[in-house]
Amino acid sequence: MFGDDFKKLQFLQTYFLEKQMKLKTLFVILSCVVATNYANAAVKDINISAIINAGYTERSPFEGVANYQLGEHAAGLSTGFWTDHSELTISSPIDDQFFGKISLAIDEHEGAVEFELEEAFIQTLSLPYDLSFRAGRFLSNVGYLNGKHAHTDSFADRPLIYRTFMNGHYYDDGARLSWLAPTDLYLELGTELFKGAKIPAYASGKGIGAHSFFAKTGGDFNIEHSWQLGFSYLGFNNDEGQCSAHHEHNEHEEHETEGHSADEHSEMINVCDFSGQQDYFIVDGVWKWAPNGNYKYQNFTFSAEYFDIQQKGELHHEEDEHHDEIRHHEFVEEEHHDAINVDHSGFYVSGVYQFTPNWAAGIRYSEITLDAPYSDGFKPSVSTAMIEWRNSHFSTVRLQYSHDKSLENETDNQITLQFVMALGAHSAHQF
Amino acid sequence: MHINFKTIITTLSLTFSISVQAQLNIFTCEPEYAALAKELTQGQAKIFSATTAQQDPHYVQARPSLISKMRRADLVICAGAELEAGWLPMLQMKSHNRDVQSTDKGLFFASDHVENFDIPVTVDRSMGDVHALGNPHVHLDPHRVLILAQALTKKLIQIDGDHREQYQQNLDNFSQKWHVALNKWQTQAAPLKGIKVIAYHSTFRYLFEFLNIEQVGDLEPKPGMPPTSKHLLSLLKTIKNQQVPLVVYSAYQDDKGVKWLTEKADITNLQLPYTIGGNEQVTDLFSLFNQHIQLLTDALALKS
Repeated sequence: MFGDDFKKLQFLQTYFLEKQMKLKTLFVILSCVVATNYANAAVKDINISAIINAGYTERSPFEGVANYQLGEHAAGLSTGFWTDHSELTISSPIDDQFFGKISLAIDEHEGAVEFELEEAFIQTLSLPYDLSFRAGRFLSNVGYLNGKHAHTDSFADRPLIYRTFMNGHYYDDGARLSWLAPTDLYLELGTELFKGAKIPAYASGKGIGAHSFFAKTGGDFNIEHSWQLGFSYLGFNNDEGQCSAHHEHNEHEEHETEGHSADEHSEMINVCDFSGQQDYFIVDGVWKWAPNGNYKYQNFTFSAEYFDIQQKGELHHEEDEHHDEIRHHEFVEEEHHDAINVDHSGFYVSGVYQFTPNWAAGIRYSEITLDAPYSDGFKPSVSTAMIEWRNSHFSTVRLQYSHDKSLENETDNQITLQFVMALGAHSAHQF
Repeated sequence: MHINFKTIITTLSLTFSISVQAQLNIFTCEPEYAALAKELTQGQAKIFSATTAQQDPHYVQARPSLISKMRRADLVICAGAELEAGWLPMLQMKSHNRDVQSTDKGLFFASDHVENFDIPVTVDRSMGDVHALGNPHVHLDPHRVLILAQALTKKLIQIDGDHREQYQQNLDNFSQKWHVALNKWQTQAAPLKGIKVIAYHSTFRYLFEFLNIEQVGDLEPKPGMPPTSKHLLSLLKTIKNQQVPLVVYSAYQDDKGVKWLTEKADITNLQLPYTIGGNEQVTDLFSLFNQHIQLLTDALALKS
């Protein structure tokens, strides 16, 4: 018996050794989780949780948002069955001075499993003067949704402005300093410095490629009504030469060959085609209500964000001209760098009503206004409605419908059935 | 213009710290701990409760107003045993307050200081939202309240040693009054002994233990899950078979299932105050237990 088990173990070991780095990584992570779970009895503060996010979506393949430059998460939900952005999170106080958190998102793109280290940061717990410092990799605290994990959202995908302008969410390697004002009214001021290596940032140089400032305030109108307001700035100094998102490039080219006219093709702007300064100004507002302030049975959340984005720099522009007259079928690539100074904006508004402990429903509308050459007056928009059933704190089943007008000549009606389940620790949620 | 930020910050923090030193700032997760802190500080502290009796303490939002309240706290008092797991850690993190991060300093979990009922041998989510550290509603037993008063006094002395004698005196006064009340409650509660009830959640577990009342059914099929019609039908059977005279729930729990059940079975339902503010008469810990016993005996028409 024992020999059999040993052989099995040996087999497993060789199996995993033979596999690629990625599988090994997964194995190591899983062993760590198991090991930490055993240690759990001793360290009661350690939180381990896994989020399983799976579903089925009926939609047309994603082909862009007008002609805007997009990152890989801009597409939103994939067609057919998907398991997307499942997460593994471990967090714990390290000692009396520091708190640490690691979260790993597991995605699949074109058959390959990708691990994204979404968060790996330490945060101070005992700085004086109401200060707090965070360093490592983390989600930027600009806007309302950006600092939150997608699985806590009330919809299956991020709103159009987040997919278009933030690549779903912006996280990067960097540092944050924030200060809580000694006032009765909640007021937090903070600043972040980032490497600028994650879309929408692709900065030049090895130093600081992105930075942000944010101010958040909020309070209660009374026992039933609470509010929060945020004002943020996020700036990048992007450089097309530093962009590593080459596979997006290929994706777009594939779509192009799938039957788009050459005219449309030449207009397509890739994620890394812009070089220069990009400034985001974001205003966000949240209002929550629950009868008597008791959130268990009924509650309502209204949230809205507005983005103003200024791009000042150069746009790399490639035109493939197929010279049929010459029999050699030569491609002549003409490269231009057009100076641009443009201003985009966008917003979303959403309302979610939980009407029993088990059921909630919500609607959301997001629209963006793009300057030329990204759009010639067409405003991409998506209207979304969802209904969800929660069996407990830990499990949600959601049915979502989206009326998607990301492209001028196409309207897509999308239906999604989503399962979001949490295994392990019950982590605290932000407002 | 040259602005000296260091001077500004120092001035601001000095101004602020002066106002703090004058009075102890206490943040409590629930009103019962605000009431206990009030008994033990007697005007020596500014006390704030994050929730009311109408709010289920399992489901609270980490609201901006609570963050700024916790920022100023010298002491945070909560039930613990994971009751506040969905919101307290977020408030601690966002409060930037180094004094309230651990129980070594200005953090006090009531359930750390008394014996907790129903600590599961194994915890499995198929059992529902079970508290691995046991039932956290420990303030509903008068014996435990006395132990909590002693432990909290120790914590107050640790944080604010200058007022040691005063805190000790407050505790002595409170204990004396509490002992008198305890004797009275024990006599009054004698007729309640052995009564069978159905209740919502295990909210009143400690009170029933104190009063020798037996909870024979729970409106929740599993902890944290609202009553289903199938489950209500099984409770109806329990009521008939065991001749249960009463269904008990609290102000923050939905009364739909309760009303359906008691109408069908033709028995009484009773909303018991869970904590201070649970009804108009409950203004402190003494009136809380007075009300419990009075309401229960009235509902059962048992006069002692």
